[in-house]
Parts: sequence; C-alpha cells; structure tokens
Amino acid sequence: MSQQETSAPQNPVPNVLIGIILLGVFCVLLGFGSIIAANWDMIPHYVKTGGGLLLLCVSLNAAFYFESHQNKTCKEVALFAAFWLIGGNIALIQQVYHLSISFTQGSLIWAICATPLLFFTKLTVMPILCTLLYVIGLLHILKQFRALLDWMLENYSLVAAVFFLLYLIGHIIRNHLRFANFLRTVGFVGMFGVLLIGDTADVQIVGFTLNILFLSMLSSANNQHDQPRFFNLLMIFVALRCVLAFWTAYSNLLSTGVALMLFGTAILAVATVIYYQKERFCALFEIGSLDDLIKSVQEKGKNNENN
Amino acid sequence: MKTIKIVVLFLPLLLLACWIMYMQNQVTTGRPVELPITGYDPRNLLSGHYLAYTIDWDRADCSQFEKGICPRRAFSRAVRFYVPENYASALDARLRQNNGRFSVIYSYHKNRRPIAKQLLIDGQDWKKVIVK
Repeated sequence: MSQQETSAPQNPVPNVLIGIILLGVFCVLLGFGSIIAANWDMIPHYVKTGGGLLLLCVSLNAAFYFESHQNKTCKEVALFAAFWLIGGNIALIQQVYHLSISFTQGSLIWAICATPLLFFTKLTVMPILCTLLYVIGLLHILKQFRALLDWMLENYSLVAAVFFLLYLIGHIIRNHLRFANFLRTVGFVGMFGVLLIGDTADVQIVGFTLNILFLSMLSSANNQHDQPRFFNLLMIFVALRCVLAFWTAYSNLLSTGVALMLFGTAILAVATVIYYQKERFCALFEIGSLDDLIKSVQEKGKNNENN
Repeated sequence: MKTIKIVVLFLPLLLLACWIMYMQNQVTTGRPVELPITGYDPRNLLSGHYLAYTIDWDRADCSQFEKGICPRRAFSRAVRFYVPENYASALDARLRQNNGRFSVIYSYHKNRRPIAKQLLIDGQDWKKVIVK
C-alpha cells in the first residue's frame, strides 16, 4: 500500500456534519450549565464571584502559556473560553449585586472587557463576535431614538434583508472596488445583529425556525464554495440564535437547561442518522456521494496550493 | 514586551476584579435605607428570575436621607432584585395577591448608584416568609 493511500482518511466526516455535531454538543453543554446555574443559590456570593474570576484567570494563564509554547490551537481554545467567561462573569456580578443592566448595556460592557483579547487571537471568530457585541451595545445609545429602534425591531426581517442585500452587493463587486469589503462587513454584521436580537422580546416559533433555516442555508451554501472558516462562523451564529431563543422562550433556567439538552440531543441524533445514511442523504439532495464531494474539495485545495 | 503582553492579556480580569471590589465596598460601607416597593408591571412581575419593581415614593420614609429629601433620581436605575429560581413562583404568587408589605433595603452612598441588599416582606427577610 502506498504512503498516499495510508495517509488518506478512511472515513472522512464532512464539514457540514462536524458543524452540526458541534452545535449539538454546544447545546447539551449549555443545557448542563443552565441546570447547574438553576440550583446554585446555596453557594455564598463571594465563592461565586471568586470562582468566576478564578476560572477566567486559569483560561488567561493557559492562553499565555500556550502562546509562549507556540501551541496555536490550544491558545485559541483558551482565548475563546476566556471570551465567554468574561460574559459569564458580567452576568454573575449583575446577579450578585442586583444590578439593573439591560441586554444592550451588558453587551457593551462585555465588548469593552473582551477587546484586549483581540490582540492575541489569530481567528476571525472573536473579532466578529466582539464587533457584534459593540453593535448591540450601540443600540443602548440608539435607545434615545426610540421610535426608529422600535420600528427596526418590529420589522427585523425587512431590516435583515436590507443588510443581506448590502452584503450581496459587496460580494458581487468585491473584485472591482476596495469599498466592497467594507460593504460586506457592514452587511454581514448588521444582518446577524438584527437576526440575533430581532424577536428576542417575543419569540415566535415561525420566526425562530425561519431564522435558523436562513442561517443554515447560508452556512451550507458557503460550505459548498469551500469557505470552511466562514461556515464555522455562521454555525456559531446559528448556535447563538438557538441559545437566545431558548433563553427568551423559557423563563427559568431549569426548563431552559432541559429544553437545550433535548434540542442538542435531537441535533446529535439527526447528525448520527445523516452519517449512517449518508448515501441516501446525498441522493435526497442530489449532491452525489459525500466521498466524491470530499475528494473534489481536496483536489480543489491541491490545485489552489499548486497555483 | 513580555510584560506588556501580560498586562494586556490580563486586563479583562483586572477590570472585572476592580468592578467586584468597587461593588463590595459600596455594599459594606453604604448606609442602609429601607424603601417600600410595588410591582412594575402586574402582568410581568418576575421577569426571568429577577423581580422588576418600582419604589413607592408615596409611602417612603424620606427622613432616612439628608435634609429629609428622597433622592428619587438616584434610585431610578436600581429597581431589580434577583431571586433563586426555586422560590420564584411562590414569591410571584404572593406579589400578585398583594399579600404583605414589600420593601427593599439598599446600601446608599450619596452621589453613587444605590445597591439593593435585601428584600423584605412585612419587615422579615423574604426567604423566611416564603419558606414558611
């Protein structure tokens, strides 16, 4: 057997499936965390705040350790964990000291606190999440223009469509004008900002499902164009959208936790079925064999490297 | 260069630790004041797992403050009290039935945002009343 044959993956898993699995795992873990959070009023306040800061300290230390040992993957994981722990700590302080902080205000504080981490990350995920937090935070300032904001939130699908149009225009003219990249970024961040917060005040199952479908279609479309980073980013937005919807749909942490775990398990079950029935799945969507698809993407990658 | 890196990386931790220390200082050194409260919105008294309320200034004892003037503006943004989820529904029912006199003890510093410390029902800690 040649070296090329031995090194080739025996049963490679496509990006779409990995994304779906990660989404399921994310929901299950978050549901687990939510159930713990629902039962922790017995813990003294100083232990909670101290514990939160300790976890953040550990993740920052890990990021620094892996940075100096040039382990990029572990460093990025530690930074990403620190990013979420900052958000968690802000929520914790708000709860412990009974602070009246709105969602938009909290987002702005989170973005400001997390900004130093952006100097260390090499991935695009955290800067975009941070930009999104700044955009949501700016809504806090925009609240002074209440009527405009209310209209935007009521007609969030329309506003998201306008942002999507901006993104599309930017994408079409990307090779002709430098300004196009700016247009794409504004369109992208604006669209997902609006889709994320659009109906959090009053979750409707149709709106939520449409949002998820829309985001999933975009994810899958980008995956087919061989843009794994962008696909991963969109999957993160899908995950965020799920979490926001569950938080607003259920008023208590315990039911949110259980619902998220069930939702995550259902996603994992779907992923398992797709994995074991992949030939039927491919036939259903008329995309040929998944192995062929992977081979063609690998060949495409090789051609790009040669060029 | 290494020191700058460490400082920048640990800046979020420093910011959050300073915030907690400031809040804790506010709680421990502030003057306790008790103010009566009412539900902010009768349909949505418990928003998630916190109690959203307004201060009933008509029943408030303003002699607790300097010159006997109630600093209404200072308290306008301190109108939330987080409650453990296990007791939320019982507290919600009690508030809806208007069963008992509700008040909040704040830690108050002049020219600073007051911090809610304790929720009282008929002068007793709310947990004792609800558990009964």
